Amino acid sequence: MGFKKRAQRWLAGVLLLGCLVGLQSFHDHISRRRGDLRAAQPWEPYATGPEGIKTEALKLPIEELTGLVFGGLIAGFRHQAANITYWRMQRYWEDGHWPRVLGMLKLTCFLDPHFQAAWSMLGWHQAYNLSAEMDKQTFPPIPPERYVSDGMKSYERGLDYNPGSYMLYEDAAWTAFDKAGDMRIATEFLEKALLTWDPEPDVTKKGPLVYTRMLGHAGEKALDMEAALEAYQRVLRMDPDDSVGIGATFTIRERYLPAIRAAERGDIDRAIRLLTEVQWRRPGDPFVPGLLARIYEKAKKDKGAALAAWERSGREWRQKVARAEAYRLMAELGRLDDLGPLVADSQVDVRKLYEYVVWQMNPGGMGVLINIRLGPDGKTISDPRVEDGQVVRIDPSPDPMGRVASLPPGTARWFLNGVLIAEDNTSPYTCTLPLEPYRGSEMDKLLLKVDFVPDGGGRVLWDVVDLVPSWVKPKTEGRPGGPGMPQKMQMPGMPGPGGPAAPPSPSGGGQSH
Amino acid sequence: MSAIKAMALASIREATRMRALHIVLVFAVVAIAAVRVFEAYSPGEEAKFIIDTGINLIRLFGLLSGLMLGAMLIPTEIERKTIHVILSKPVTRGQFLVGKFLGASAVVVGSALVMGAVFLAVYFHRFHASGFNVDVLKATLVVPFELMLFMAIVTFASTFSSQIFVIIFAVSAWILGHVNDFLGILKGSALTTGILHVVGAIIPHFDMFDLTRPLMMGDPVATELVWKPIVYALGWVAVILSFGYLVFNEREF
Repeated sequence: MGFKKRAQRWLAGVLLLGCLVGLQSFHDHISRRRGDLRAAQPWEPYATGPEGIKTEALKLPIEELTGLVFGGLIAGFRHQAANITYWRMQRYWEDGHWPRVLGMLKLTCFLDPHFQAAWSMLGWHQAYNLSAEMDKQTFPPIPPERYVSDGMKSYERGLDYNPGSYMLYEDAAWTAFDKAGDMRIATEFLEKALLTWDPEPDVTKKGPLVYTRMLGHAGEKALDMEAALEAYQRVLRMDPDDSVGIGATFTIRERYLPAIRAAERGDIDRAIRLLTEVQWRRPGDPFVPGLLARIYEKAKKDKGAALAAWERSGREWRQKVARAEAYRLMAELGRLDDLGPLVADSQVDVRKLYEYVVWQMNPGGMGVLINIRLGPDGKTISDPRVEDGQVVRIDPSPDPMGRVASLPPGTARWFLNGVLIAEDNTSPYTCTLPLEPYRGSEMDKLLLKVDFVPDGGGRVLWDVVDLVPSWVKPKTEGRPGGPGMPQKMQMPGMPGPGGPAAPPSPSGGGQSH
Repeated sequence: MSAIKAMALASIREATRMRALHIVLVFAVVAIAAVRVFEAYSPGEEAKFIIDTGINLIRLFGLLSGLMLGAMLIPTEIERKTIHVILSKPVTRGQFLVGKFLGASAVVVGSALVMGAVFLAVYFHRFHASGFNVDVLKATLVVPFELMLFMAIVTFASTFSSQIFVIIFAVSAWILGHVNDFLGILKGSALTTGILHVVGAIIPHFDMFDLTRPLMMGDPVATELVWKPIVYALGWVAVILSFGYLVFNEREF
């Protein structure tokens, strides 16, 4: 081969390499533009990092990494491949094989980041399934909060790729509300869910109503009663007959706003007195301790009383906000060494009984619930001081809410542990508690529910504020009371503040509306 | 020029006599037409499913056609010794190569256009209520150019290797071209990163031709995302065929 020909060939090769460099820079330019215009298929989020897709893929059995998945990956059939991994995930789900479910869900999201249902499932799986079970299966145990946090991150990641997905906003809001206990985040996501809601795929067509109700609940849980009231007003503008909106509006206006207004006016003692009264009449109110705590700390500068109130709230209602506040105050007061468990299991059990037995029995929401414990010998009743054959009496009062009843007017019915034990249609309405059959049994709780319709209205007296069970004896011996609760306000016929806390009444705030 | 045209026409005639190619085309058309049958597997995401599946079926069957054609493009001529007859006529090696490429590309692009027409008919029949969506047309339009680029790679490989190697080489290039960006974000040692960078530079990025994401997200498909990849494809075709010519010109038969 001649030198000239060889030189020409080299020159052509160099020219072509130059062209390749030019094409590469042109490619970089197009890639940037595709990124700017959101046309590039995303490869994140699990492509990199210590817990990336490589790690997840290694946890999967080899048969999962089928040729179809790889085919989908390389030839562009990523959506179809994601459908297949999603189906496989469902099989593992049925088997309860949570680690593989996690891997398959991550693989699904990796293959198709626009697969909203997969992101939704991934966040839920982490925040609920794994947080509840995996901490017991790993050593050292992974705290459930870590999984909840991972779930929230998954929702956020999914929203990066699906910014218009009201479904993901809804899921993230619920998880923040229910599992993470972060009302600020929950509110933020709920507002976005309201903005992005699409009526077409929402089969219930009630998205905005439900989200706005939840906004109200989040406001209450955050003790921002003004925001909660505003949310419930929005609910009532959407549906004037919404029972949740009506009940919550009434509750907030009656129970909390007078005290909040008094505190705003600087009448701190009155604010405390009003809240304390509510607490006495409704020991099951979950928000009063928190409201009191704030007033104690901010207006009265009494951190000890505030701590006691937060502790009570955290113990009885398992409120994360309350626990965090209690922890903060303990740290400020140098009492972290005193920190003990805030959860009293018996109270939790009562709440569950209430939710699963009474509430489902009468979802309309009327009644009074009393927790009666048998003494250590299993025969005597130690608390709350009721004797066999004692008479329970209720007094009629005006119907404040106008809720339709299934009872005939002027009738009261008593249920003990879900069994109708008495019916009375003559005022004063009374019932004799038949406690004898329960003596000596292993049952340590009795549930009493009262349904009542006053004369003339044909409507349920839903609010039990004015129903004072006459058999409850005033507490005489000293018991650790609520902070700042003056003894002169201890009225006969009302349980003391340190007495057994009844679960929320149906008209109580929060999720009980 | 007439030599190139003659070579191209001869390639087209040869392709039209391939029954396997007809079967692939018929199967592709039926598969694309039937894509609506499976849309129920993605409830609420029917448009996404039809777009994704339809366009990728065009791509997949185009790839299959290209491989079938490309495998017999030059290697068969060499095996049958017909290349000696052709090159003994007033046809240069460059003209032979370009003519073969143009003929095979015309068949593959023509098949892709037929499949694209069927896909668009299916799509607009399903979503006629929302009117004519020009973005779907744009996303479909770039696929034939992607296939043309693939045919250039097949042609290049066939200048120096056997049928089996042509298939392996072209499919590997296709795969790497689709996962180029993915490889780029994988963390590794400096050596691995360097190798991946070089691979990224010498393999065309086939993911440039995927415009389904904005369609699925409901975003508009910018016109520049159509014409720039087309220019990119044509640039790569020119470079690959030039390399192919350099290799083919040196080859002894």
